[in-house]
Amino acid sequence: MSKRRPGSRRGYPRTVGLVREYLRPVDPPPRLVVEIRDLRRVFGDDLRVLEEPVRRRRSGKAFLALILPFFGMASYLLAKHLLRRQDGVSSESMAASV
Amino acid sequence: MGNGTKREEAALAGEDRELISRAKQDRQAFDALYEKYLKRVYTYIYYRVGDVEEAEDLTSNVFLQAFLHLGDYEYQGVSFSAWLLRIAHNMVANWYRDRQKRRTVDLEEWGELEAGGEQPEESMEREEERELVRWAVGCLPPEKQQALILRFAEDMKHKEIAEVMGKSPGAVKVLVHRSLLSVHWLLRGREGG
Repeated sequence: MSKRRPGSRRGYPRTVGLVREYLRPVDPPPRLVVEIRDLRRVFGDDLRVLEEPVRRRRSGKAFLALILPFFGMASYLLAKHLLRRQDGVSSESMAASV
Repeated sequence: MGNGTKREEAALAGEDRELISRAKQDRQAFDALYEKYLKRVYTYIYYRVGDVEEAEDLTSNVFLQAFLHLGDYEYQGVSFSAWLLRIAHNMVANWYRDRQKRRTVDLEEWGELEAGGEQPEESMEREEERELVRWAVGCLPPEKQQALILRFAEDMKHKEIAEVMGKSPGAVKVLVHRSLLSVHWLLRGREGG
């Protein structure tokens, strides 16, 4: 039934056979093999370069997390000291004016 | 035989997993992966876009994306080949969207690229049949083309195609059958039926 007689129409099984026969894997051109290997090499190096700053950035964050509280504390103490001094100066000047 | 196939699949998945974990640590190990899957990805893209140079560019891009995002890949029921073919599918879809291109395949080119090369003494009838089949497949909507290429050119099982297309194996089976029917009627129409 699936055989094609001269002049006859194709049967469905024959169509399946044709698709199976002609839709086959295609060999990539050899230059593509080389190109992708080169691409991997280039991007492999770039990736290493890209990963470095990320690591540095991460370590930078850790450093900031450690020192920021000290900065905060220092600026708080400095502000307090300056305010106290300012208060002292203004009370002295008030006393002088009286 | 079913058990044997399952065992083969499991061995393949295990081999891939090992290669992938190696490639995640050492990017040079990626070479083994792309060498293994290059033909599969290229075949798929080639049949979808029908242009050698575009197929080469897109294939390179697929492997570049895979290389850059390999860290994101985790084996969770989706095989590595399905993951690669999904990237390829998305890339082809974007390519069509960006350029609004239709197939521009040159039938002479198809002949040149036939896997393994055709025999020079190939009969005229076979040549004609091949051209007809490719013409008919090229006439189908993208989804049907994809189903046929994955089923026949990639020799994938319905379950594997389902992974790539994001459908159930049953839906894939129906889609493949409908695609074959479309090809059948296109061929019949071309024969003057």
